[in-house]
Amino acid sequence: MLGDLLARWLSIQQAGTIGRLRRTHDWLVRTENGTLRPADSGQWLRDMSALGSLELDWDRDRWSATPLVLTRIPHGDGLALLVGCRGESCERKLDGLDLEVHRLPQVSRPSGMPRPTVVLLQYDTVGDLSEAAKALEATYVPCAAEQLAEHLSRPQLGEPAAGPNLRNASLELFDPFTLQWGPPLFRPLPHGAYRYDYAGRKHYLYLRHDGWRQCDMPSAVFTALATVKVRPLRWRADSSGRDTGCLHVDWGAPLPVLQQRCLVLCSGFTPRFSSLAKTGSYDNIPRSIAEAVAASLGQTLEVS
Amino acid sequence: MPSGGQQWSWEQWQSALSAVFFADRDASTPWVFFLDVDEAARLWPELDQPVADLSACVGQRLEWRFGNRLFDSLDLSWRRWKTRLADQPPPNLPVLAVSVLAASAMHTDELATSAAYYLRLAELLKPAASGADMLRIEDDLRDGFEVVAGWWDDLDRWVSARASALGTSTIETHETFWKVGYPISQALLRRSDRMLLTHFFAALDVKKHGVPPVNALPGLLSLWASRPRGFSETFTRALNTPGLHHVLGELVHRQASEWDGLVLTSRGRRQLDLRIALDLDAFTATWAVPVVEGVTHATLQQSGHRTVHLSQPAYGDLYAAEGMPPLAATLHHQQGLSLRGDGLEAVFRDQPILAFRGHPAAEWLSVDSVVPHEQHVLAVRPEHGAAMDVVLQTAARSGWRRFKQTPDKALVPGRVVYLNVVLENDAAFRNAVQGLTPSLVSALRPEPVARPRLVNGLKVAERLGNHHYLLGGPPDLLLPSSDGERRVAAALDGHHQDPAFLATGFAVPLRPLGLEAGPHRLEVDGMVLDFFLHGGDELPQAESRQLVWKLGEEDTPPLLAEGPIGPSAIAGAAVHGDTPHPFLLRRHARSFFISDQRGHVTSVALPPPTDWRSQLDLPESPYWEFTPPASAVWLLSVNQRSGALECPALIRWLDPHLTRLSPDGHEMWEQISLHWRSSSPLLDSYIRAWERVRRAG
Repeated sequence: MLGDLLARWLSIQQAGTIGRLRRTHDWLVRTENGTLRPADSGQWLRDMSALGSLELDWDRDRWSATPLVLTRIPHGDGLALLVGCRGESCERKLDGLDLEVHRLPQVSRPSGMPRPTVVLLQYDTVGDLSEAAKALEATYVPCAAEQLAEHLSRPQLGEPAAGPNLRNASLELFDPFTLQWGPPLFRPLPHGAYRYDYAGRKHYLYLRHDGWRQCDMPSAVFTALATVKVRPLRWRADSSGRDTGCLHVDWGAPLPVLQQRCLVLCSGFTPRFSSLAKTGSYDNIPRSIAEAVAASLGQTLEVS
Repeated sequence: MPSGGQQWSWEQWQSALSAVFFADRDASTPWVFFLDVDEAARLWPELDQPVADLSACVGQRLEWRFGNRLFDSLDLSWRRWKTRLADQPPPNLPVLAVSVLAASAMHTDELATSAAYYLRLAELLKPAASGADMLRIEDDLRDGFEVVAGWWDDLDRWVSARASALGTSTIETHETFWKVGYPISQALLRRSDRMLLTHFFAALDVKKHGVPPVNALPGLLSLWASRPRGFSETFTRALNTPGLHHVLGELVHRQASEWDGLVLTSRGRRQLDLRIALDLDAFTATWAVPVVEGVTHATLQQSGHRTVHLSQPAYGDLYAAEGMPPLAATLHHQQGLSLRGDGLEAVFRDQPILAFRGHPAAEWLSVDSVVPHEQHVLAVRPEHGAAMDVVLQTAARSGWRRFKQTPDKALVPGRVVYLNVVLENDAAFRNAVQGLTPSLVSALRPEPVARPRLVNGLKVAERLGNHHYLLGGPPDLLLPSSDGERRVAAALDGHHQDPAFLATGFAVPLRPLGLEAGPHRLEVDGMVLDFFLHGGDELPQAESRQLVWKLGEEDTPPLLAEGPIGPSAIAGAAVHGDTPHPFLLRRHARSFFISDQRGHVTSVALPPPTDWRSQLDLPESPYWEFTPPASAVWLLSVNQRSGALECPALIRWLDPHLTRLSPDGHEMWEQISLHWRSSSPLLDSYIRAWERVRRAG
């Protein structure tokens, strides 16, 4: 599978430049005559980061692979998730484990490269997990999702910055009520989150009473959302009555990497996107984790 | 004195040739004794037919009656000169010049052999001869030419000894046609061609990949020169003459082997590229000159009326430039731009389509041609706008658009600007450009590579070499191409490819061939390309610096940096800390209970699997995950078939404070006491507490 092949290559390379990785992504898709959009490689990388397989430094054009981790899935009834880019030897060791190994296709996307196969292990005891981790040369982390939830912090605006070039035709203002970006209609520019294109990338700035601030997209959006009563995170309990359920996040409110990873590690699957509801839905999210994520973003979780 | 219709005497020709090739030489450029009909007309415009005049002059000087000893009398003066080792240029320059003229006329032959050379030489020296007479003259020239070859050899040494004043000698010979090889070496490559070949060597990247074999060079050069490169007509014709390919291959091979890595203009100046930088944010288009190694400052002139200063900046790879001419005026004139000085020449070649690619210092920088699958900005002359729309609609990735410019504040004056242009479909491109003017197609078509190259692929083990790939990720083959389509026969691991590869400027993927692990060899265009596919098992992970999220104090957001994973540094799912593990309880054939510190026993209800787990296409789990309440001390399990109570499991220790128990509670603790007394001191302390409660009644 193409996604697994690229992940295998990443496990050998361990680090590199994002530019080259994006080109490699596009090239591989082309070799199979796949559908490709300009944003696909970036989305694939962001998903790999949310899955905990890569760390991405977009500003410095660097990626690095993360260590293999075996970790419990909350409310998984004995399911553990293998996180990280798997090499050839890891795949072979998986086949040699005494545990039941499940390989499941990742949530599919309409274009670009498929994400690597999800590997889940059915275990009997905690001892099984630490033994399996040793056999796979992976790190055993009791529950990465729950542990990560304890370290989440609120995205913040960065250093003071120069304002955007008002002649830049791509300049847009974020509307926290509709969660959409559009050309600013008024001069002088009102306070809020702004973005513009430069050198083929989006750049983000925030204007507040003390002037312009550097920021990334999540900090721009959630700083703007903090000024209004809009709740982009909604948790619905599932029918099992086990205090777990589905977290729906509106499209216009992109989560910071660690918040997103915390949610993805609850299942091993990237969110399902609904173009009808315009949400991304994260499955198997314990309410406690959903609340931790919402609190870290300065949001109140809507629960039903 | 000249005789007959001849205009110049032997002495006049000797003097004229000496002045052209030996006086006031620019020693920074190679010494070449190049002469052909056009060059002679340019050098001596005062003569009606300089080639005929020079040839007649030499013809009269030769001793035809002595057969193959016709050069002997001239050889006497040559030997006198050689003996003296004088600083004066050698005698007999008219003979040498005619020998070059004969070589430059060889390209008119379909098969340019050495026989063809002597025929051309005979025609120059005795234009009226024919039939048997001509055959005899050819024979005499061939037999006697060894003398002239000796002169060339002497001249090479003499020029080489004066390289500091005259430049490096380019006199060479050919191992098969060694006598005529000398003049051919001067005739095929004029000085400007030698300079421009440095661009070919740079495109071949000979410093990194070495020089291709002699027999492959003419073909590769011919393809590379299929686009306008500025080569002389003589050289271009020679490239298209199969009989000259071997000679040409050797000449080019030798020059490539001796290339010092500098790219020169046709005038022999080191080339700087004049580019245009676009900043869509600041809405500006400015000149930009990429830094070349070893040039920190330069002062250049534009036709004597403008001075431009370049200086290398502390950061970045574009020179800081002062005094550049207005960009709009240059684009308006459509003639390009050349700035010269300090042994340098900065060149801007205007084209109907200017392509720009992303650049770290300039947002968008103009480039020589488009690269498939890369994002570009295109600036197109308005008359080609409609054609461009059609090409992009057919062959470009969706998402391109025309950039709105107001005429008074245009980003690129006089051009239509297209954004987000990615050419990605070679078949569609070929169809789309049919019927367009060649210059337009040429400007749009990807720049051909100079030699077959392996590109893309999942490269691994780069320390082992340049062509190691992961199994499943073999490279693509990029073939030299001309503006037309070219079928290229190739053999992969000894098997000929059927159908032959199509060279279009787009890469040919090898991945669909499903190659196996191990070494592979591709033979194409006279070149051999080796690569290796690794299964992945034997490859060690590359060492790298790990990116981690460094956790800050309290509300400080995490910071991405390089470093080790640790208690305050997260990478992926490697998060330090611990969380209590829930109990995994058997879903079937067991009943579970918990007891608190008061000894109260409550039943644990079996929940259904979560919705998510149920939706996975997995077998039902034999377990369910139980997180006990904070008050629970013991987990009790009863086998539903046998009714046997299993050994109680401690959940967390709390001192026993047993009080009144329900009958079910007493029953459970009685069972525990009966079966599991003395199994653990902690359990025994609860059993003793229960016994006290029971005794107290």
